[in-house]
Amino acid sequence: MTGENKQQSSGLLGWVLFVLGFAGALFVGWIVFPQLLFSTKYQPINYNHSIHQEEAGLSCEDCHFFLEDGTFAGKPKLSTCVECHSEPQGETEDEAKLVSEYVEPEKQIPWISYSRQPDNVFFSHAAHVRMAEMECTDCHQDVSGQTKAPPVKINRLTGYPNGIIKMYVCENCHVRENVSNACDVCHH
Amino acid sequence: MSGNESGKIRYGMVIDLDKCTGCMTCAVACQQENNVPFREDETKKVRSITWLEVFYLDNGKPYPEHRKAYLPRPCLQCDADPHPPCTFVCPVNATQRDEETGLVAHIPVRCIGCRYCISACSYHARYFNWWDPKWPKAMEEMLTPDVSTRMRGVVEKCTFCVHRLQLAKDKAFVEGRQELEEGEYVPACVEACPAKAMYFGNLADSHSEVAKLAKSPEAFRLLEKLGTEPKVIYLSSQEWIHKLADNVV
Amino acid sequence: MKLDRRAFVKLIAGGVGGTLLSPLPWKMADDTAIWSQNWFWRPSPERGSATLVNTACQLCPGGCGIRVRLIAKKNAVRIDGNPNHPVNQGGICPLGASGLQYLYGPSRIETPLKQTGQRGDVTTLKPISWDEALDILATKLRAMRQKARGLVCVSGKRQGTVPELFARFLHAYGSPNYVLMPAAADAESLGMFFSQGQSGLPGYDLENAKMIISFGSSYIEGWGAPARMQLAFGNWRSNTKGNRARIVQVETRGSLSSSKADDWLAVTPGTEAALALGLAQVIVSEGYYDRSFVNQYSYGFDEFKRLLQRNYTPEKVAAITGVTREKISALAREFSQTKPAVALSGWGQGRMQGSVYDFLAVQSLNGLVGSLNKPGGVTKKPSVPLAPWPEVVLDAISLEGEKEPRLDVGNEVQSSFPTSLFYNLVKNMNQGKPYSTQMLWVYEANPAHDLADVEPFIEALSNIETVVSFSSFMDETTQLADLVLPGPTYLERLEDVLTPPGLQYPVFGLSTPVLMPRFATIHPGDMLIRLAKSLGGGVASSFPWSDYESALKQRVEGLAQKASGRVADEPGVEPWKGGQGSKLAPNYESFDDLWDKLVEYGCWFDTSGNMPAWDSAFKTPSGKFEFYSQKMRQIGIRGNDITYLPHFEEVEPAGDPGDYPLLLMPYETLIITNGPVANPPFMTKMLFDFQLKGNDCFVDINTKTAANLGLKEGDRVTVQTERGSLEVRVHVSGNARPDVIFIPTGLGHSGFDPYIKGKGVNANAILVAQQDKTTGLASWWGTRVKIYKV
Repeated sequence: MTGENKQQSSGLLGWVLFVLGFAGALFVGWIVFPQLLFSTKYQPINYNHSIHQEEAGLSCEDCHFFLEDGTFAGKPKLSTCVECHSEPQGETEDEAKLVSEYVEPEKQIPWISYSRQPDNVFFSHAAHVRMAEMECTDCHQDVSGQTKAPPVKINRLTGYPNGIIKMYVCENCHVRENVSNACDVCHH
Repeated sequence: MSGNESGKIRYGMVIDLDKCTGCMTCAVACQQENNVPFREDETKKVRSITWLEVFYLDNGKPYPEHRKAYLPRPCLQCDADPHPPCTFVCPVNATQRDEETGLVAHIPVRCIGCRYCISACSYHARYFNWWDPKWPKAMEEMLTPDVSTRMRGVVEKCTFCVHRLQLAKDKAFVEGRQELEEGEYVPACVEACPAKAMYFGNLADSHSEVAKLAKSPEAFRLLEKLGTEPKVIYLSSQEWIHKLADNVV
Repeated sequence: MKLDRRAFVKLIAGGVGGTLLSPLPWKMADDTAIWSQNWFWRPSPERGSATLVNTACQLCPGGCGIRVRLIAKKNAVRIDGNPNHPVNQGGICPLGASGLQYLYGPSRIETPLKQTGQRGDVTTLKPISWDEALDILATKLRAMRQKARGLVCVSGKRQGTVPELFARFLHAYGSPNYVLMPAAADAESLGMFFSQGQSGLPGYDLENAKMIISFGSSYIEGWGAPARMQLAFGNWRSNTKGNRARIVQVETRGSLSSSKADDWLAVTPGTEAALALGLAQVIVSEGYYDRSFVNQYSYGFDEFKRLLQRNYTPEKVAAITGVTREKISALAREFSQTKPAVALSGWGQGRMQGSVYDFLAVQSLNGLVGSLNKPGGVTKKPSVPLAPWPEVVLDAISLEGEKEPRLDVGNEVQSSFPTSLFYNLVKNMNQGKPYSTQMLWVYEANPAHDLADVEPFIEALSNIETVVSFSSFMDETTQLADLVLPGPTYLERLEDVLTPPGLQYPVFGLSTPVLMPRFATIHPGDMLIRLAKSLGGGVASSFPWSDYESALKQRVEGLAQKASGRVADEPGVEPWKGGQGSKLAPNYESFDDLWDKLVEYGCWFDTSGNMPAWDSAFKTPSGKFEFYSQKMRQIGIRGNDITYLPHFEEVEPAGDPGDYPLLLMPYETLIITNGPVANPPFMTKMLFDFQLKGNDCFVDINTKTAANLGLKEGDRVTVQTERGSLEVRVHVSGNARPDVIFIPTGLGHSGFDPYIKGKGVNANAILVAQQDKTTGLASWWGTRVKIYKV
């Protein structure tokens, strides 16, 4: 074998390796890494939005509403559930679990938040929904009509759910809408 | 706010030292409201965190002409143009004045702990966390979620209970109002004062109680000559207190 | 083919390129930044919706209405004042605002404890079950029933249904020894008994007064109802100039009360009453007194006048008090001509009994200027119209017990006093006379720390077989207990909170549990009911209720039946306005409605319009206010004419002036609580570094005195009285009179938690309490002392 040949074949190999490395890294970065970064958690009760909307005739605001003090009750309290589910209404496994594990021992359901912000962040639903008239689905996934509670992806590094709104998103929108970006508008 | 043609808001406080009894409820209410940490030994005052500090004053005269007074000192929320001394020096923009309210905010998570702002403040109103805050386990239940807890290595200070402004605005928004009524947003110290010696409101609104009181001939501000333009105004009928306030001995 | 270096570099380059085009590095950088701000090692407060619950504060007798802010209905995160409550109107004191530090504090007692080793050894106080604990107590009580008088109960709480249940238990059991911790109220109630013929306490209409002279009362530092006094002070000062109420403080120390007054009269220690009599003399001799009151409603004016002319001329009073004659005359004129004006009595925060004559001197001054039973003056504190419980059922033993001499009675005449005489109890327990004490109960009190001149009390405990503490906290007295039966804290229990000291209108506050009890504690009321039932007989029959709640409700029926008074359901009520005879239409319809509203709003009140009618105001032999007390004579107090008149009795402080050249005076401040709980961390933090430095507390010494003694600021010194010595530091101050050094009370705890334990010294340990021979009341405002460098 000549030196040239050797060079050629190794050159080819080099490029194959390059592509392999490139593709492998893309695979790791786009497919494996997100799998590793996020843990998947399931809600304690597999809540069926669809059945509550269609069969029970509930609207979103029946469970997700503003309190008199202006704060937003994102996750319903057990008392809301008990209004109908003091006794099982149907025969699903999840409902049986609701009654036996939460309603009867009067224990709050530990719903996992899809959009928990850090302690130092103050987010005003009132300002965005009532004043700026934004839609819930501008920030939150649309669960209406879904028959299963979507699993929650929690970032293993930060501890926050996947898809929480980042500060730059807030800031950009505040700039666009000509709203103050002073620190204490959103932090405490 | 009513009667405020300009629509401008400059939140400020008036503290009537003639009415102040020195009971220190303001300082206790502040600690409770803002998750201010405490340690077993808090007697090294330069390392002790008290967002609302109470200064001891006396007229320096011998018994029985001796008179003393206590002076509550929150962050004075300096209105100096264009910057308060503290925000001007922050290298990371962790402290900033909200020009819509006049409140000087400090965001501990952004703070790098260089303490430049502490040296810039003329009123010792800023505090450094020399240790991680720690509570007996059971007392963690009495921490309010409205104010985030801090860590060692960052600065903190009085915010005029800005979280109360956030909550008050929420309530107004839900009721369909853009603006707050006088008294809807009041810091914890003012609310707790049993002698009603502390007033809070919009200094830019000439009809507000604080604006009226601020015009009193008995009104003064701390170290007025520095030009820091504090938005905390004191009232006192005692000349010696006025003198001490401007460091005239 | 061989993998050489170049190929490897290409692999890496490809990998890097791919990585850069994937979200990995960017996401990692971003998330790392977020992670770095998480601070996971420090607590992240639990989130949830907030609610406010009204209840009543019980950390002192001040009777404030409070609101507790709850997160997710379970974490209490703030206490502030209830704006609807007439007493504090939304304000609060530092102790009240620190209340959660007791609820969640590390010195809470979680279960009943039994001393299994040496008394006083905290490590051998072992947890036991409630059944066992109550069984131990019931068995002992059964065994000593024949000697029922040997049961003594000390209560730090002076009023309310729970103290009443304790008193009732002792009565039914057959012991006359239900004794209150000492307070100025003892002298006040005795003074009211002597001068007005009925026991009761004064209520001051301060909100309407234009001039106030305080004779040694720390009127803004914890005297009376603390938050109410701050509010009143703010109101006195809020009027525009010229219309401000005038405040005169008569006190030896340059306290905040002195500094904040318009005029401070720095009197010779212990001579406040002499000044009151000096003012009375000027008012009488210059004819400024209220003639209609003196002529129609007083008895013994001439005798009083003669005494004043003889002993209390401005010259003589100036010599006693150190206040100039001119000042005395001018103040007397001003006080008699300013209407309405009122004089306050009760030394410091009102923890010292003091002399009954001091109270009588000040009360007589109020009488002379026509401020008795008048708006802006002083009246008898109105009672809350609660329904009575059924009579105690007495059996053979308890009938016998009624006849037993009380252990707190020191002589024949004292047995008819409507007052507890705690220092007699200490003496008699120590000597085992007239009989010995088997069992001591301590409720809402910490005498082993808080009692001035504490040593004799601690010695007395060694003669007592069983000491039972009902405390929720590991206080000094509980450390010395054999059995600990912890009750829930005030935020976890139902209880009534009655009209606070010095208030002129009736208030009924309801303390309700704002959250589930944190530990398996039992309400003392329920404990007593259970205990009574297990003892059977008359004791059981005297406690017919199923639980404390039904006992309390039975009394509250009285409010429902009364056609006057309101539940505080709106802010800004001012019961002192409206004047005499005015009535409030009830805002409740039935008992159930009233109870529900009490639970919701926390307080019932009525107006001050219920000042006693003149014909029923005085129950004295003359039917009038008696300057010259016939009552004293009637109950057998012997002496000369002066004995029955208000007069100044000079008390010589304990200690030989040769050995102890200076005077030590304790002082009280609002930022150090004086029990039964120890100072909370929030408040201790606010002490100046010339009050507490490390573990050292400071005594205030006059600038010149310090220079003469060669002492500088911060020097460590020993202060020594004949009771003992303490090590402190020196604070050189213009507060202090040259011949007096001042020491704060409330520090020096050996119990409680690391935030207060070992900080400062307990001044009570070296004070000498001096008892008046006739009345048995004790004073401890001054003890002779020497001071030297460590």
